[in-house]
Amino acid sequence: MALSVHALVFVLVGSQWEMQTTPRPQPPRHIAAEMVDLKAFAERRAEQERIAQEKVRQEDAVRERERRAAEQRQQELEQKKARAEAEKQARADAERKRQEEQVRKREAEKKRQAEVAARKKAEAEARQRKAEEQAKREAEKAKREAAELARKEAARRQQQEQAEAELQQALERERKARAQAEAAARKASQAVIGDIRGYIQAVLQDSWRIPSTARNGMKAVVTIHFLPNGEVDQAYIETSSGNAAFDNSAVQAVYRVQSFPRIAEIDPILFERNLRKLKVEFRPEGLRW
Amino acid sequence: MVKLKQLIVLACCALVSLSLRAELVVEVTQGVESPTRIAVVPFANDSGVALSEDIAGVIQQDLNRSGFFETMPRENMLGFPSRRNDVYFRDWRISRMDYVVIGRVEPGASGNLNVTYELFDVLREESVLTEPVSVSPKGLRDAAHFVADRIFEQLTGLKGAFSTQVVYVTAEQLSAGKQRFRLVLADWDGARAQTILESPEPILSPAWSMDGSKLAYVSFETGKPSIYVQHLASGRRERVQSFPGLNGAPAWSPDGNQLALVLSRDGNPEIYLLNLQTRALERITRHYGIDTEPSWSPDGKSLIFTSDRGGQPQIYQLDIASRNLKRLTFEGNYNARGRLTQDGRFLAMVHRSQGGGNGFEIAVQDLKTDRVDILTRSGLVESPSIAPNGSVVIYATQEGTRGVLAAVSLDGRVQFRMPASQGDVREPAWSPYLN
Repeated sequence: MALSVHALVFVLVGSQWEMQTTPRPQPPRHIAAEMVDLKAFAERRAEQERIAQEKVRQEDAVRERERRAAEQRQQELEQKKARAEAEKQARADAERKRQEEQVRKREAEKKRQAEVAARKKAEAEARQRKAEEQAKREAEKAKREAAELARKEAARRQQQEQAEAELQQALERERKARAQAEAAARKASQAVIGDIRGYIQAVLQDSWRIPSTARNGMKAVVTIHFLPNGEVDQAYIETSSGNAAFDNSAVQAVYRVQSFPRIAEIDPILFERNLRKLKVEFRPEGLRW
Repeated sequence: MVKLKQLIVLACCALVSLSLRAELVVEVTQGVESPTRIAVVPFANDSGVALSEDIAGVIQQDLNRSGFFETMPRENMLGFPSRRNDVYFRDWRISRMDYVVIGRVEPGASGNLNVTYELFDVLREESVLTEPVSVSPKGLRDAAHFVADRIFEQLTGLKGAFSTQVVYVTAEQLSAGKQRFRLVLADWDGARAQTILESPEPILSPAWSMDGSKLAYVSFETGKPSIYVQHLASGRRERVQSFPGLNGAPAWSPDGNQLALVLSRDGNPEIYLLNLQTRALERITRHYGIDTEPSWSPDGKSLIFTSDRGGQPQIYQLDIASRNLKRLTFEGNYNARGRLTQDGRFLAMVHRSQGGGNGFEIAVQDLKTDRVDILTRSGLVESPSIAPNGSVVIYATQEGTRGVLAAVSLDGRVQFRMPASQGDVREPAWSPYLN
């Protein structure tokens, strides 16, 4: 690459050099003088005048001949021209007639075609009009039908919506009533449960005989299964305190009671939900140790 | 899709309501602090021979004295069933019993007797424990203690200590200037007492080795106090230490390799450790006050002892490795002769509360809370020693002018007097578990 660039530069610079070379100076031209004889010179001049007069006469004769030939050629040319003119006139007339005939024919043809086209166009337009009218009629019919359908559908929908709204309202009323009833029931049942819890607690505190091995901080969880009549179905340790005597005492506290009669007064559903199975946490407070 | 979501919501609601339902917990924080009620029905004797012991009576007494049980007097029982089918739980429930024990004695193989007992849970109406025990006719008392141990462990979770023993010292004034001292070994209830050493000179501070095979004590039989070790099985004795001045209060380390003891050979009483193999002696207290009555912590890492370095006798704990000293007692103006329960939680001691006119009583301090409870009301007690299961403290006290042994359950609920021995009784020491 570098080499080619160098070469290019060299070529360019070289040509520059060549163009700058200055032209070589031309050597001066030398003049040669000649000697002339004057007598010979006068003789030659008379000769020359005679020749010139002869030449003028000859030239006048030539010119006369040429003038007569030219006049004859002119006459012939004018005759020829007149004949050509007449021929030409005749041809032009014929041609004009032919062309006129052609034009007439073409126009007739054109007229005929135009008539056909017009007829066809009229027919097509008539057909189209007819089709359009048909389509329009059909569209209108469809529109009428659709409008009718829409009207019917709207009526039906409205009816349905109304029915649904009424149903929703009824449901809502029902739901509210139920929620209120449930809230009331829940409140009542919570109160009942609170009562029963306090009752069970009181009974068990009377029943629990805390053994000597019990220490503050011990905790045993006993699960009690009740029968609906309030009797203890079974009781067992759910979470051991780690002390056998303590665990025993807790389970025995339940079995010692045997029956919790107030549970029998509880609503059966409430019993099933909350009291069939109950956890009791035995966790002594205020022991000596 | 919507239905699925509804289902999920419903399921969540159900779960929540379920968990809410499970939340209902009744808390019981109060109760009647009360011993467990148990009826021990007299055992039927189907052996055809007269029995030397009232087995049910011994069981009943054992359980009653532990403080954990309240037994039913026989005269209140509606019947004496001895077989399962004869137990009417309703009757026992009406009698407000929680448990009932029945049993019978039948002839066994090769002249032995088969004692069968059964423990019932009255409230759950089910059998809890039953097994036959084969004994020789002379072993009925052992069988009774064994059954009591089994029942105790079943119902309290603690190992029973009814088959353990106590040693104590008796002193009799035979005539003017003539005394008789005895070292006596007996069942924990004082029964079957037997003299294992008799001396005209004082015997002091008997102490059990942890394996229950040996006793260490101080005897003046040579005219000056010396420490002896006596092997119970063979009766063999050896004098392990004797220095001029006071030699006293030996205490076995739990591993049985060392004796902590008090020597005053350097001037005033200090506590030493004697290695029983090498006989090397190491002094571990240095104080111009009196340091005495050492006793080991159950883990063997520290000693508790009495010291008057604070101006009045109080109980201190010394970590043997670090020699760190910690005062344990602060209540009362006299706390001495400390003994720890095997769980390390309670300290039994002789205690005198603040104020004039107060006597010396057995007190127990909960080392977790530092609460101190005074267990006795006798005015002059000494030498408490704790049952290995921590249920009962035995101690010496005065009855009239005579020293007797008494015991109190650790909760102070049950107190009882040991059967009287001859003479002045002092310094009881409760054995470790012997089986």
